[in-house]
Amino acid sequence: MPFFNTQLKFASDIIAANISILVILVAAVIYISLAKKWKMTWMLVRTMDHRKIGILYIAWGFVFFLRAGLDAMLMRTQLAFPDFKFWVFQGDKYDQVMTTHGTLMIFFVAMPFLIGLMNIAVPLQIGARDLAFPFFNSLSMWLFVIGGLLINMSFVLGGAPSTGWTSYVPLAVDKDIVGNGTAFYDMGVQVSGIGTIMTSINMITTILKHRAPGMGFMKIPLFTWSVLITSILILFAFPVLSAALLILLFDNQFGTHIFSGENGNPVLWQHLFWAFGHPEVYIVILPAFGIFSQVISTFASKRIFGYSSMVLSMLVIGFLSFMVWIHHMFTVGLGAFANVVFAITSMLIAVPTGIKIFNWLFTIRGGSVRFTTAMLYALAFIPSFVIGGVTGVMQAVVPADYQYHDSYFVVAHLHYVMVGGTVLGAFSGFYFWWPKMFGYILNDKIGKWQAWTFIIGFHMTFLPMHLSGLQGMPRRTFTYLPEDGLFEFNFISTMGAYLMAVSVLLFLWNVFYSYRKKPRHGVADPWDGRTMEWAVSSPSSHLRWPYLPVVRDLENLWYEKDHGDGTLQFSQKAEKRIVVEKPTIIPLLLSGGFFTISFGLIFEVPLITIAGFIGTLLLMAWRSITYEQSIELYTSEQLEEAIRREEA
Amino acid sequence: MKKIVGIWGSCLLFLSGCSAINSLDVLNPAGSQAEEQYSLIKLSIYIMLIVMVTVVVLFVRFVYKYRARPGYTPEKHQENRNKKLELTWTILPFVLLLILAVPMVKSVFGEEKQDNRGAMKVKVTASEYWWKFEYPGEGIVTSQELHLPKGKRVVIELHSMDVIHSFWVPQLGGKQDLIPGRTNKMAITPEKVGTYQGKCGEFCGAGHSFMRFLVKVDSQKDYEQWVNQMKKDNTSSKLNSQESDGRKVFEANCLSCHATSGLTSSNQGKEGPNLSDFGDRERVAGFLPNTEKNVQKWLKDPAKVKPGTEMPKAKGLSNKDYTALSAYLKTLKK
Repeated sequence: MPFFNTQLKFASDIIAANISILVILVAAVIYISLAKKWKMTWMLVRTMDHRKIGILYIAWGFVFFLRAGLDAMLMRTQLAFPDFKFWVFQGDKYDQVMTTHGTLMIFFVAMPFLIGLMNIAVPLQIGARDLAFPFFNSLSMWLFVIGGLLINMSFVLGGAPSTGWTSYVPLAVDKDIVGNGTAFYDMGVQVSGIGTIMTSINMITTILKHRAPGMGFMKIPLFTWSVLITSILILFAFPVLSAALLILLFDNQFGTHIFSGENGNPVLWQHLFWAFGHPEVYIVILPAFGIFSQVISTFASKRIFGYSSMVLSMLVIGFLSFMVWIHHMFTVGLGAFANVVFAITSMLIAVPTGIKIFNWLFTIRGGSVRFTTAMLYALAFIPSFVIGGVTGVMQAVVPADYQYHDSYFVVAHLHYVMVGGTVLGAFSGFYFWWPKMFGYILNDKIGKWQAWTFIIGFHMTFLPMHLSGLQGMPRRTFTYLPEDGLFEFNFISTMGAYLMAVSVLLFLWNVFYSYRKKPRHGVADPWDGRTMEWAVSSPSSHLRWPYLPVVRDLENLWYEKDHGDGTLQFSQKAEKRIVVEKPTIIPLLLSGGFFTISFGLIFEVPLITIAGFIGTLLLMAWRSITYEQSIELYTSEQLEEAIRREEA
Repeated sequence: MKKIVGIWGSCLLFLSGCSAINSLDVLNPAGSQAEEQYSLIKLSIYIMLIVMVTVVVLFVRFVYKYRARPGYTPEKHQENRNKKLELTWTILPFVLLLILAVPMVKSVFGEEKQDNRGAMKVKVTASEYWWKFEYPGEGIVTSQELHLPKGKRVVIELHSMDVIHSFWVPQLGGKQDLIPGRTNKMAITPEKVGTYQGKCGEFCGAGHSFMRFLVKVDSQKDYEQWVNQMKKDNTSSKLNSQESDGRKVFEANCLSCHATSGLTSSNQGKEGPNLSDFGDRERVAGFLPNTEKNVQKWLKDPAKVKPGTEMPKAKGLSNKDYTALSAYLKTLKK
């Protein structure tokens, strides 16, 4: 079937995908109608509340997590046996799900999970009423959703990107091979990247300008510190990606030859991609570090060990992360000197990371450890991440890396840091802050089952991959031969992957189960919390703090519990102008504009692109003109009154 | 908690003591570069095991000792900083990294400074999804099988025709990329006679998994004999009627891309793999055993056997033609 510049083919996998999309859409509509949630949905898509935007981030992130997880299951099934033919997932189809898995997991799962948690926790931790730019925040979120949808749609609209999440040229711009796939990748990541840059500006401004009175830099909770450093990394790293993607778009859609062709330089793409790509891996690990710092200190009932060295080591990690990217390119042939310099900077990152690991360990020492699900995840992180870390140092040894490079050893390493760090961190954060998000606690018993299946499944999946890599299994292969001696390792990996899938289903079950049984009381501070987010109601209310809290200590709430009556002290100063943004549909519509632009560019229909541009500009103008009507102004007294009315 | 100890114990055993490890390709080197890489891998594993063990021991001890339980109250004075300890775990990693970095730097620059004047040269050209090996010193060319003499340093010049590939023979040495518009070099010195698997290490498209080759390391004498064989013309061998039918089919359909002469001076068939020693090869399409059944399967529908391959399906050939063709291909021997 012709579809703009491409042909849609209806093979069995495409039909299955189409049917499942249809079923999910219909089920969603039926559920919302039957549960009479249309009004709530309408409120939710226009919301300016940082908590609700955070929830939307996580919810959409979870949708993409399920898709990318399904891709992983398809890949692991295809790899379970030597020379196996599972359904259609060989050759190009395997490459498509492999690429979608990687791209989604990094950009549309790890990022939104963390940004969602940032949205929920940061303003509360620092005593801010919301982020500095709520409109930006909502727009960022919808741009991320649009980007994710573009990547997801590609599979049924003529073929997903198929050249890996790194999208190396010239392979990625070979239209005979990739079709529109690279264009989907390019626009999907580009659009969500714009949102991410806005988020970073938002977070930096909020943390620098909106801290409660008394919160000096060394009284900022570690999670917020990690967010600040992460946001600075995003601000410097993502524009590099945007530029690289723009050039890729030109090479791919408009026939320039900057990365490809006779005079193009394919290595330039690798430089740009990894100059972004390496900071990116710290962008998704630093907030997880922040989460673990909060969780470990809370459940060890002890102040974090070595707070200032924790902050300093994060700064050093952030700084070093910009000067190690060549370690992804040791085999490109950049010369002995370049390789050695970047090998040494890469090794150096182990030092601040090691400091953090020991600080966490010594936070536990002398405390009193409570094994909640959140803590279980945090504890599992420590040894898992150390494995990922030491294999990282091993790969910094250049000659040895010639062997590890692009083999399953690397696949094992990157999953040990991404899953063992970021995903464990996200789950830990979910269990920890869930009451703050939804006003109920996730069941601890199901939670522990989920945590253990996940942790065991995770090690089962990825530990054997070190060995299959050393046995000579290159990454991104869809099969191996019986004589390769890879069957045992791969079979164990596949079984582990299924176990992880079971764990994710258990999480969904836990959400559903706990929602039905939710206790309504005693969830404002269920963990005997130490930082300020545990001093407000659960779920947190958008209108809060007519008078700002006064910060007297790093663990402000704990300080009040220890020295005072356990409630926060508030400033006496009445404010004249407290701005609260009204809900608006403009961010969602604007993201629709970006979608239209992307769609036109992908399918090479200039008219659609132009229409998208005009629509986007008009919406921006509309927002500027109506700004005055889109906000509500309160004085402290009025806000107090409004909160009283809301509670009644 | 015992569960954690158990799991981690078994993981460490798995990593360090398992007997299967000795047979892993990378850990079973047959060339001096691979040998050196292996020794660095060993060194880094030992150092990293020290780190792992330290962390796991502290972890298990602290988590167990300080678990919340009835009758346990943590000390009133909680330690939040300790300069001595913090200095220890800042400085010790530097020492460990130094132990690792010095041999690494030595090895990298040592390889860089090696004298290549007496070395043998091979030019490798990768295309989607096959390998061409040219021996400029001998004036011959092969594809899919690289023949090398034992004990001689070989400098390999790496080129790519289309996308980025990577040359990897785990038992002889690590990877080096083949990048269009760029010439990379690497060296290997095979130390043991044998046949080694080579693979493309950089993702290059749908057929990446099957972009394989073999490296056959012979004694100097056997290698020279092979070179002399390659230089001989193989068109003179006597063909029976089926084989000469096959030759006609070959000339009509295949010759435009595939050469049957192993000499670089011959200008026939520049596009596809050289087939001058096809009958001697162990593999067809780079990965299937070279049997008549597999040859026919490959010829009848190349894209089905090797996704993404550029080799087209021949048009209008009968089963008889295929049988004749595969019979003829078998005669291409040295």
